[in-house]
Amino acid sequence: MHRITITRSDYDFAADRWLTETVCSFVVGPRGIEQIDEGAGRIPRRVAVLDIDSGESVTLESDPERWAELLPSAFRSGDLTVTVDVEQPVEIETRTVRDRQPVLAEAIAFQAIRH
Amino acid sequence: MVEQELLCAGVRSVRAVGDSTSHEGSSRVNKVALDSRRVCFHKAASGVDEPQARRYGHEPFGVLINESAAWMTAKALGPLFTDWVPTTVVRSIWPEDRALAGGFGALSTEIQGETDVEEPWQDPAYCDPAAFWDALIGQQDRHYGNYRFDVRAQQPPLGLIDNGYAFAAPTQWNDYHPHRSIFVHHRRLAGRLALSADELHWLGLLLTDSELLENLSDMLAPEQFQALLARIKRMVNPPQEILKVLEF
Repeated sequence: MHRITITRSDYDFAADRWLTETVCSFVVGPRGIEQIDEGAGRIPRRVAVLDIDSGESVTLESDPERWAELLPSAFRSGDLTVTVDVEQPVEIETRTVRDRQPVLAEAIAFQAIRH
Repeated sequence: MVEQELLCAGVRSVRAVGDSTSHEGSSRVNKVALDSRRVCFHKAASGVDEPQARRYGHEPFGVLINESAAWMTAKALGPLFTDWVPTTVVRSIWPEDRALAGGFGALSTEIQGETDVEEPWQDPAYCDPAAFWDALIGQQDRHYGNYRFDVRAQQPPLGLIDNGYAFAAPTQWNDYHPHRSIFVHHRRLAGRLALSADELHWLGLLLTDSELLENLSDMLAPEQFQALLARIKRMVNPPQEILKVLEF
């Protein structure tokens, strides 16, 4: 699962600070976009990204998760920042009663990829 | 005027938008607020992802040169393209930062708008000049996320941003699958192959602008420059049509 957040920033000269707004936020799984939290109309669904390992173009339809991983590389100009958080699925161990843990084992790895 | 501003204005504030990425294929980009109250982008030479640049057939520093060469070409073509293509200069903003290879990078103006909206490639008034531009400069990376269009504005400029991977040369470099120009694709798909009188005029301007050609010849790699000239001549010659997708 890949949570993608696209933000835009601008400089407030009066306040002398950078302001950031969220353009869209959504979750991509093996079957495509599985959840939209914000900005449904601003998700760059048609954007193809170049996989430099294979030299192939990857689209949301052809390989949703790889597309999500590579999406930051499609926005190099700097006005839009793409952040990808990779969430590992929860693992549940059920062996013997003696081995059973009182709390579910949970592993969530975050990988922030910014552009 | 804007070029002078980009070259000379003091830097008020800088925000890194690409330096923390661990992702291959991205470039180090900083958003820069100038004392002139303009916000622009600085793409550092040392931040260009080398493997990706080589995929496109460019040296890292060449990516910055391409941005600047695109602006010079736009300026020679006139108002439509000077509105649509970001003004770009090569400038050092942090000469003290050795990590930035002297701090040199492409400093470009911002053209605000949304990405992946349909109007620019559905409306011939936007699609056709954009297709002409991409065919001319040998754009290898014009996907649905690589333009900007402000859907809330009246007759907004079409932001033909990010020309760093333009000026392709037809070599073995192009053995991968670059991002064909969506504008060339949609123009050809709609059957609007014939170049307009304006487009032929623009090509004529370029061929007779000896100062521009001399500068581009100095800036671009020889094979890039020869490919650019060849593209211009192929379009000027009968049947005077827009080039094919990925025809470099």
